Amino acid sequence: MTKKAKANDFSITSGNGVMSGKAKAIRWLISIILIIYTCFTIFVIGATLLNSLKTKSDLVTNFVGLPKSVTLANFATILLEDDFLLYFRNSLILTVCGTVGCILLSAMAAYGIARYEFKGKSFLSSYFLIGMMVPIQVSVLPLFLILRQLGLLNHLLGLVLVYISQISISCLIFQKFFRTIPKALEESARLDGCHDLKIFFRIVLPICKPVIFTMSLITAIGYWNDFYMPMVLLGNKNVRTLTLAIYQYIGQFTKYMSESMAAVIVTLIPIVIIYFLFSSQIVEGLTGGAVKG
Amino acid sequence: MKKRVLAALLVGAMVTGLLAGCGSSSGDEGSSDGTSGSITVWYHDYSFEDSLVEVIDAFNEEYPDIEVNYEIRADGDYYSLLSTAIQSGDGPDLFWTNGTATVNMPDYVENGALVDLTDDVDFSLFDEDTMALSEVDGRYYSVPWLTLDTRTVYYNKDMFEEHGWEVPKTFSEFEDLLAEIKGEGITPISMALESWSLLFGFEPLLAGYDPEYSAKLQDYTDITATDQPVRDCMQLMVDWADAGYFGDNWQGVIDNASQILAFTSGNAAMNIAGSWDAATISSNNPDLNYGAFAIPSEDGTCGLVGTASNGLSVSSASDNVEAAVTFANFCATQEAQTIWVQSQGAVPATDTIEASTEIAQEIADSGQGNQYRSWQNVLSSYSSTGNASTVWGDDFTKIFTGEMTVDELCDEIQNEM
Amino acid sequence: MRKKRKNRNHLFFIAPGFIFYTVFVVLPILCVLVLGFTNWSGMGEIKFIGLDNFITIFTDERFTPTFFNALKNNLKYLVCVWLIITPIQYLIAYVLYIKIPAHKYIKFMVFLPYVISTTIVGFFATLIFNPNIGFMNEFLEAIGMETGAWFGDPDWAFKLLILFVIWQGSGSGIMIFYSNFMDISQDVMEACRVDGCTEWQRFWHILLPLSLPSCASIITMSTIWALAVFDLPYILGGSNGGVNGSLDFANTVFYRYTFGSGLNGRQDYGFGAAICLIMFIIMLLVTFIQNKVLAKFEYDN
Repeated sequence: MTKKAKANDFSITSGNGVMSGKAKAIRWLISIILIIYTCFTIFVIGATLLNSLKTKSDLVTNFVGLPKSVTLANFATILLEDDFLLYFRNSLILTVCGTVGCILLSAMAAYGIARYEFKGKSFLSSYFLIGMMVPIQVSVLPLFLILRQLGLLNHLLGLVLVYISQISISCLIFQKFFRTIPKALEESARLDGCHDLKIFFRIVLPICKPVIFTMSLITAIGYWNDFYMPMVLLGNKNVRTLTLAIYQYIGQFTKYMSESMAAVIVTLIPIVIIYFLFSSQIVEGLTGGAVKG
Repeated sequence: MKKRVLAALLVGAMVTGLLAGCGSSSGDEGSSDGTSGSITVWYHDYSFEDSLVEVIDAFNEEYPDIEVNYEIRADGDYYSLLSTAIQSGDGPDLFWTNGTATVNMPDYVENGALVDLTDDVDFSLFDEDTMALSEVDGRYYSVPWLTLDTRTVYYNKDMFEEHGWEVPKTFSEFEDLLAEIKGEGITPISMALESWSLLFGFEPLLAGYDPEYSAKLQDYTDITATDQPVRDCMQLMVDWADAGYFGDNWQGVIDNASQILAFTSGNAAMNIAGSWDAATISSNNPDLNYGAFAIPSEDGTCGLVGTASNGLSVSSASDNVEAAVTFANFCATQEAQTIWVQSQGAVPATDTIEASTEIAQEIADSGQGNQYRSWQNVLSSYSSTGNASTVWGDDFTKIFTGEMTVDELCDEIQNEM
Repeated sequence: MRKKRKNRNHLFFIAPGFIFYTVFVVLPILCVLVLGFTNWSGMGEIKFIGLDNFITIFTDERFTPTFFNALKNNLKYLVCVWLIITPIQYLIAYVLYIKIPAHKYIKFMVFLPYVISTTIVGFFATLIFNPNIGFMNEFLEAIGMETGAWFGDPDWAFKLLILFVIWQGSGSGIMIFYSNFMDISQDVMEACRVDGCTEWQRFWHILLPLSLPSCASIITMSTIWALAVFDLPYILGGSNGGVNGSLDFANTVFYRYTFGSGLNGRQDYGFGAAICLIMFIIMLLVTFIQNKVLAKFEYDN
């Protein structure tokens, strides 16, 4: 048996390698409770999916039941919407650039704070929390002015810069995480004459794969779903995002009820697929443990 | 340390930027020849996007050299964004405001942010009442749209037919009808626990309850905004709510959307709401067979509460005022007005435009030619402190949840008048 | 010599993030805070009016009760975060870590709501809890039970909000706890297995202490979020803060007074900024105290 498999094995069994009947029963009970809990999610998404297949008048008079006849007209309305591909591209650029930048900057800043001793360290650590303390609605007008000053209003780059700068949460998580990594690894690399930057990119970051992955996922989802900032900072049609385009349907829910149902499904699909694909990878990346670097 | 100083400097710069922006709100007037160039229009809701595009297309047939871009900024902070954009000098050339119905446009006028359109735009299409929306100190600052924003009672025709109910001819018939519908276990009226939805129910009710008082709201002389008819009518509405006329759990309906759904899904027999909701109702359930009537008074007279709606104003900070005014002028033409009213499916506020939908025509006809001023409009126009409408907006729902009595609310509002 | 080099290096790590963050996050906030001392209404001159806005917040007979009711809700919410939401997140992360039956499926499903935007969650809330067309009342009616007004019922609104927060918002915390568990060196676990300790011992003596740093950061985070909560209450309860103010929070008050009710009220940016400043101070205080407590807790272990 490889070490990896053993480690996995360990998690299933308790100390002596054989689980007692009682422990097993408790585990099953918890499982069942959680499975019932997840049914709510399946239910709402399933109901939305079913509803998205109904015709308009079927939907409103038969909200709870099964569709009388199945139609894809609602999806056609959403997907054949003039510039769907453009919107998709805009959303993708914003999410990818914003996430990569944000994670990189916050990991570096967190490493700097967690690993070095210097004056003003605790101040800096608190300073980076400020961003979480006010909802984005508060600072939207000054942001508008700053981007205008930079000539980046109605440009994707402008919003990317704003997204990159939202490092509060990830910086906090990374800081706590870096403290748990034993210093020995870095010290030995340093003795070998590695530059600090090289240590960071070659040794520290690979160890942090799981956390980086988790934080990227959380950040990317936030940016993908965001409609408020694009609405305020990207007014032109050519920089409109997918979420914003779809929000127009959901925002006028009553008028476009059946289209809204389809819109919800369409927004969910890419994220669910990405999450589904990567959720197995995350486990792969994890099992190596900390010594892997 | 250096960084902190730097940060402080940056903040300083930003704030001065803001302050400076405020001082110089009126920029130099455009340098272009006026018949070409590009202008930008801001509107506040996606539901106007299609109509705007149609008007722009028609405009471009006549003025192909002026490129008109539009941006929809749909959220609660439309005005904040607009103000910021105008002050920073990067505002749109034309933009929507609610005219004199809210404080925003008069504020803009006071700050010199709007171009005086009185002499540059041909306003001959509009009557005096309509122009009141655009008028500040005797000058006009916006081009209204001839869509009548009124309130009406939508009713489910099939349901009425099935149960043998009749459209009421008098106020007491209306009350009897409600009791009868309730008696059959159906929700008589769909309503939402939200200030504006309640208002659009209250105002037509007041018009039917006391048409004489409602007529006096026009000039707001000899009466106050919280006279006995207002109090009685509010109390009547609260009583109806308590009697279950709005449904048993209506307090859980917190927005206009859910209110409409209860009607279109056949849960409620009637829906008292804005005339602009007709497009949404038809779109929500295309098979719904519904009509509209106005709440009649005891002697059978009916009337519509509401006014035309406001449209675009021209920003004085525009780089191309001439082109912007050209567009504003086009909006004031019969052609543009017809396109707008019909594509909105709205109730026309004039005889010269035909309603594009049956229901809009039905609403227009139900008023018997009588038009009343909105009670809420009186609050915002005649409040001595400027806060009456805010007080109403904050507390109107409280008389329905039992946090306040009708008299407490009315006294509170009266204090601000 | 070596020390000097180190000093330069930490700057290199921190500077890029610091600059971006300062320009696009802190600067806008500072601008707003300065506005708290003005009467700027969005248009016209900015006049500095000293502490007038703050005096209004604490003495105005209309505004003060509203604001304190909102603060009370924030506090209630904070307590729920500490006592209900975070423990639930931790426990779910733990049972996923010990790989209970169907753990892969559960992990996938528990995190899924997190990827759903708040707008859509509001949409789902309508789907289920709308008193007229929602599933809940249809269901209750079908089995002959009494229907409810749900978000329109002051007794229910807050509880439902918490349920929705758990459903939608707990995913991120669970993931962070979980990835933290996974980062715990397998060698330690191995040693534990060799020593033949029970599951409880392992949880109490190894996992809990080792995962405390992530607990601390999640608690810090969710405390700040509890005080800055905006999206869900706004979408579920409307801009007026729900029936009897049951879903009114400091930030919904801020939003209402800054941008006006919908498109029709008067906006007062200065006043809104003052509300924001006060919330900011409260958050700094709470975070400061909490960090002290958590730090003590960390060292104790």
